[in-house]
Amino acid sequence: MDAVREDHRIALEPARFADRHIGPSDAQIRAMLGTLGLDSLDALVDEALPRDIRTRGPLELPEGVSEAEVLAELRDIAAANQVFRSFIGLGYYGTHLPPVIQRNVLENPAWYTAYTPYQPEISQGRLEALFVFQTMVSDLTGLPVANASLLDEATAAAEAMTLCRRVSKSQSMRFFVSQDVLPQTIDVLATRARPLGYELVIGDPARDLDGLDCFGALFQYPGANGDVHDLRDAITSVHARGGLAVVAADLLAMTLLAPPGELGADVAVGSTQRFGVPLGFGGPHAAYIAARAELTRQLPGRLVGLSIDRRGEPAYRLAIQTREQHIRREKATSNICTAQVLLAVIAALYACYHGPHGLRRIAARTSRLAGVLAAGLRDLGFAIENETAFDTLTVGVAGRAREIHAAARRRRMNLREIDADRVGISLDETATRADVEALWQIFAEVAPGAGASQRVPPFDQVEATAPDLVPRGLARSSSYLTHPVFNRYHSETAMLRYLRRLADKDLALDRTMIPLGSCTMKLNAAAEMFPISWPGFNAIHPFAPPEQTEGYRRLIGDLEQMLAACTGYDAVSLQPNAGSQGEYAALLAIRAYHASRGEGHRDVCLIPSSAHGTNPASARLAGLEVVVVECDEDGNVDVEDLRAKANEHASRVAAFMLTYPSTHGVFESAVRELCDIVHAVGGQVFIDGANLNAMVGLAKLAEIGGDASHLNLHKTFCIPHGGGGPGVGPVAVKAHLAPFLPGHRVTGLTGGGPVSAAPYGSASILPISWAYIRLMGAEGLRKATQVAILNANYVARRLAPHYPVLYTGQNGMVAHECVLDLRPLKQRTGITVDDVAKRLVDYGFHAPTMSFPVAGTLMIEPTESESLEELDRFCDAMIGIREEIEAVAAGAMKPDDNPLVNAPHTAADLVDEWQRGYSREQAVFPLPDVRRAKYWPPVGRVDNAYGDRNFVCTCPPIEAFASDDSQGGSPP
Amino acid sequence: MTVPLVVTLNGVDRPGVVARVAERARAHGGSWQQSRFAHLAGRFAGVVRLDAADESLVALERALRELDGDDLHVTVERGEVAPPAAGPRLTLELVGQDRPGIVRDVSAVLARHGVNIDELETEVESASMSAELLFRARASLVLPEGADVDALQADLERLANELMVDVHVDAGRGGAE
Repeated sequence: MDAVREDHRIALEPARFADRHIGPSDAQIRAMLGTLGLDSLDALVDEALPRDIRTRGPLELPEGVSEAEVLAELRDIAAANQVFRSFIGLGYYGTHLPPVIQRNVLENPAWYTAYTPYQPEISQGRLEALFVFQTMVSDLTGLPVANASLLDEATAAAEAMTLCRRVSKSQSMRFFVSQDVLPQTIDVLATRARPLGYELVIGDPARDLDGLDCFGALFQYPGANGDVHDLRDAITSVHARGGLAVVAADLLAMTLLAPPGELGADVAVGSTQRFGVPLGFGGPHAAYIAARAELTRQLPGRLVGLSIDRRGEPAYRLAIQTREQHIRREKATSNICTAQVLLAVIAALYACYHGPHGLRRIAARTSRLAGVLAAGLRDLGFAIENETAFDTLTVGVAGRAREIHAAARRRRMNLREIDADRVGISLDETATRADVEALWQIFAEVAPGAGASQRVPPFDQVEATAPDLVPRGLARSSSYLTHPVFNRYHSETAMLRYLRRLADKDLALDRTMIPLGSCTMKLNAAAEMFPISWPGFNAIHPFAPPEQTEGYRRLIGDLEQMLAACTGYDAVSLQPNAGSQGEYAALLAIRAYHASRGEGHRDVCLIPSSAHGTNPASARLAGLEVVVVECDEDGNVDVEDLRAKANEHASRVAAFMLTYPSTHGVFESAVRELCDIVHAVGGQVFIDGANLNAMVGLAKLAEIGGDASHLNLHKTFCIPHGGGGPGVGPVAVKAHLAPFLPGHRVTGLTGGGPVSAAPYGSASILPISWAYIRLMGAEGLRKATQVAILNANYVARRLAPHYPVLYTGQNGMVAHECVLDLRPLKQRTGITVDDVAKRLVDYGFHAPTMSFPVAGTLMIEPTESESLEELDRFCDAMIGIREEIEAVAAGAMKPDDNPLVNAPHTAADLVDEWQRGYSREQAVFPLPDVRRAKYWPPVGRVDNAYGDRNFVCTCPPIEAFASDDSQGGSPP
Repeated sequence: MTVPLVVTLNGVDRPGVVARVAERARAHGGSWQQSRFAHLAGRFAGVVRLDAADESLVALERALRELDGDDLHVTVERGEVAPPAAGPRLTLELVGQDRPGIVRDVSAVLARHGVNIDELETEVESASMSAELLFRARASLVLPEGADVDALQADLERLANELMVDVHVDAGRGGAE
């Protein structure tokens, strides 16, 4: 009887998503605990986590729900958003994402679960796509060097501004901004300029630039109001005084207009959103930056370059990384640590799919419709303020703007609200003849004189006489996108196979665990991903009126509360669209807080030597002076050094930046004392939330002493890495800092200056984190953290006899990751971390994080999503590699001829005459299990130095790929 | 009158080398002024500047030379009290891909600009994330009068695409330390 009742009870229990998300089964968890000599997950936490760190209260979140339930809830939320046709423009346009790209890239885990391509041998697919992106940007802007994307147009403009200051010989601290630059860009520039002491001069280039001393100037092309100005004179006058000229250019318009490079610009920036990337309520979208060749080393962010592999075959890699913040630290001039890879890939493939003629046709149609629209509106008696235009009109409506917007909304159309007398209309790829007629209808209804609706002109009649608005003098004469990659994949079959071929070159989470330390490569569940493709989330303009975005508001409010519950903070801003931007926003909030108390002189930021490179880079951008605090041999912050430096700079200490658990993957027991020392001198504590996956449900950042933190939703909260972006880096703060969180003037969000173009940054991917937290519930999240710690300690325990684990906390335990020290092995055998990382490719694995936080080490973070089988498969590979190293040490294999230094092995290696001191079998099937699902790297070890010496960042002439077949399967 | 001695050490890497030198220096009136040590390829190498009065000089030199043996090579040379180098001083920090000839290339540019290298520290390390081998150098330089710091930086950066060069002029610093 009891057994039957128990069966009934179990039968009615809801399915738990946590069991799908967490890799190890309960039996496996018990087995791993056994290996560690523990009997429960709670005992594990007692062992690993210092008692005074533990949270006092429970995680205040509801219980988890099933996938079916979460999707139903999200459908309700999406339905609370109203999808109107958008004619608002301002940098965000309707576009058709080609279905073949939506299904095979945006919705394909082979693309969206990949990591940043630091390991080029297993990243050739996305590196090629980014290389195509760079070529596209370079061609369309007429500038030779382009990077692999930036976060959004506004931050790209801010990066261009700081680039100008570094390069310009002008002594001026002024940066000129044309008044027709997008308003959100101007606001982000103002945020960024202030702490650096730059003065923004906003004005009319025709009137205010003459004789002005400035280190640089920014122009919008076409302007926010739609005008297409010839910028040549303005650029010449900026150059005459030693400044640099930046042009924010619309890439679609550049298919018709003379590009910035041909107008004399030094730098071009902009968004590639309208190349197939949905509006998404403001993001994520890929921005671009391009420049003259002499400015290459000044470019922020990632650059993909062409190099060769050890066989001399062409291979892509991230180039000139010596520019980057993780190497330059406080000398870095940008804190950008990621790109918008997934979105850049989509934009590049959109250009490949349409080709130069297709893009030009889209641009010409959009522009023609705008010309016809203008002519018809004139016929209706409205003044068109633009003498020239591409796709955007400013219409004089003499006090009738409110009526026009109301009439438009009745037809579910949004126009740009400028003021009472002017209305803005932007057309785009999705615009049709019917749209133009509907717009005429709206204006006709409110036109002066009755019976106006009868006066709507016939489209064909207007079209027959409507003049072109694109100025002839600026017509583009140069060719673009001539490379075969833009002219080969125009049929869906060809594109489908190209996408598959690229995806197959890469290792992502759909093939193997990615044990990257500090990156938290956990499951990105399919149910979490579904909503990003729904129009209710992705077809909404960021400046749509609030009554149309109730669903988003609810979702954002919920997510802010969920994150506050996880961290113990009082307020959260979801605006920062990368972790680096979150920490920057937190430092700005801290500075503003000090200033509000008459302590604006506090300008020192204490940063441990072990910190991630973005910490000091962000501090510098926030106008703070970095003072480095030493770490002890165990990698912990040296308490006495912190005390000494805090006291030395007492009245100047603004902030202390701490990572918890530490960058060494350890729960430092002195963390509360560290925070107390800083608070005692009046400083604020910023805790970097990069390692939050070790804490959710067990400890709260605010309780251990943090005043502010940034979180990485793309780590702890399941937003996929997208091959190197998008990211989401919310900033969470205690109540006293809340008034200083980023605001957004354009949409009326109160607070400090904005750090992103859109009010909620990468809004359209927020449903992913919302869904994860809702699915897991308080219990699921807590268990996920416990298993993350268990998995890391299990791996550390299995590998410790083979590789020393560099840092441990109390009871010899690590947190959610572990650092293996390979330096002694290198001393003894010459085998490097690089060799081990590349050898792991032969075993079918993505390497752990290399040489961070300590050079010559590997950092492993398994996350809770990996099962015991996968952990064992990985450990077996690492142990197998250790035996190979031992063979080198023992002299059984030569130091310059062994499977490590020659790794990874390609199929091409095997068909060469084999004259190596080890077998083909050992080269490519080092363990029996590897045969089951062999990953073949498309290239051998990539030569880094060659790539930087012979820097190429756009598609080279075809002869560089002489070894290509002629089937069209080749890289560009 | 004090005379500076420059002592070089090159030995098997084991604890106590510095202590042995310091003991002898102290016993014979040598005042420890400046030193640099490094563990390089399993050996321990270093250079020390000691100051000693005229009268204790010979005994000190002898005591130090007695340390020379199979597992430690010691040389001792008398230096001179140099006048501080003239000209603006600057600190140069440089990071780039490691490759053969990089030190030669950098020093050739410095020589072309008539720059004196006061101190130079270099290391090769594995870059975080990509594990590429990075060459890092930190140098303390003395420029000839009228030297063009911007031109020097531009010339150095011209050596390679990826070479990041940071130069800052040290304000208000006098002669050699």
